[in-house]
Amino acid sequence: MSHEAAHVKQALRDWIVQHAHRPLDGIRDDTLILEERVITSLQVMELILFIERTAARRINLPQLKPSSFRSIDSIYETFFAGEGRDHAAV
Amino acid sequence: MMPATQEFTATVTKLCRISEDQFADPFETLDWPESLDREQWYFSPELISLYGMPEYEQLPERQKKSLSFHEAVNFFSLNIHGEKALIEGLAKNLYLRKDPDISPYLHHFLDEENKHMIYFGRFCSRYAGEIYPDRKLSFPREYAPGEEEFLFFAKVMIFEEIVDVYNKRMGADSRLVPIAVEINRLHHIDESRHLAFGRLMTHWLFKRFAPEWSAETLSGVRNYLKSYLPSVWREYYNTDVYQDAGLPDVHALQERAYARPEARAHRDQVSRQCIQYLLDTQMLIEEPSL
Repeated sequence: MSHEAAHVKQALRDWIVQHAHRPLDGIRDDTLILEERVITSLQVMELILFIERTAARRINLPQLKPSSFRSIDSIYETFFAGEGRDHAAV
Repeated sequence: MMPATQEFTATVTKLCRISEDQFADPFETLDWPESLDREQWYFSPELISLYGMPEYEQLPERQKKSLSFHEAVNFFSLNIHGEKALIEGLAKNLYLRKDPDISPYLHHFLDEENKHMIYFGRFCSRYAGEIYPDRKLSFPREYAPGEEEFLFFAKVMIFEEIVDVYNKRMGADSRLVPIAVEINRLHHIDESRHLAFGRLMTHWLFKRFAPEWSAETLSGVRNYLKSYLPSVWREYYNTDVYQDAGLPDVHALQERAYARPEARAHRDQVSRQCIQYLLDTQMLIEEPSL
């Protein structure tokens, strides 16, 4: 994993832990954050704002799919990694 | 005293009669100027999300007014997204239950919400060339009996009660351009009936289903509503608005704007009646953190 990827994933992990809806033993990059109710659907809006702030650009909201928010890995792939980043940016 | 269902039916009949009496053609009701002078007020200054902040106060008058235009576009966009979801949910509830039979009023509700979207959509498309995108996503899940229906009407009620405070103020604000005043005024007139129906329906569903929910479901429902209120408010602080108004460092600005004690007091004041209603009816048992 590149230094940039590790940095972004750590920032996402910190945000999720800080906003967790329930006590956490730990969180992996593939933890299903919505299915396991780590964060609630209502918090996704805040998460989107955090992603926009971290990526320093607007996200192409109409094309977003719930599956983009399954885990730290899927968030990273959708919004920060190569093709996903281009697709998700306005 | 009338039984609950009978009282419900009487109210629905009365609301239907008023809707029929006040039936309006959305294409005839408003005068739509070809273009608008951006150096006018479109949103009451005191309701602008940055009002009172140094970043706002030091702007030249022209830029404050430009910001007010984008705040209006955001407010109308929020209404479009809210009403799209509302229409979908109302349509699902048509002819769903006979006791009480709410379908006669749902037809009016749907008709009126569609008209509101015509007003909001035309303003945003014609004068801003865009509707700000929705940042909410919905995730399918399993519900206990009546839970999804209750949450739908409770969310509608909360969203509309907050919107209505803004509509009422701006529908009577002579500083604003006439088209902005009229859209707010007309929306408020219809919303007063929708709010009455929303409270009635939400409370009825809660009384009907909550006693059958497990302690876990009931607590989940209350937690959801408690989180829903601030999530509605978050959208009133939109980085797209600040960016389009030419303001710098929009994400940090948004965070500062939302976190101010004055902003929290404003949100509390606007939401107070709604929160009190939720507390009085036990739909909430503790204050939400706004």
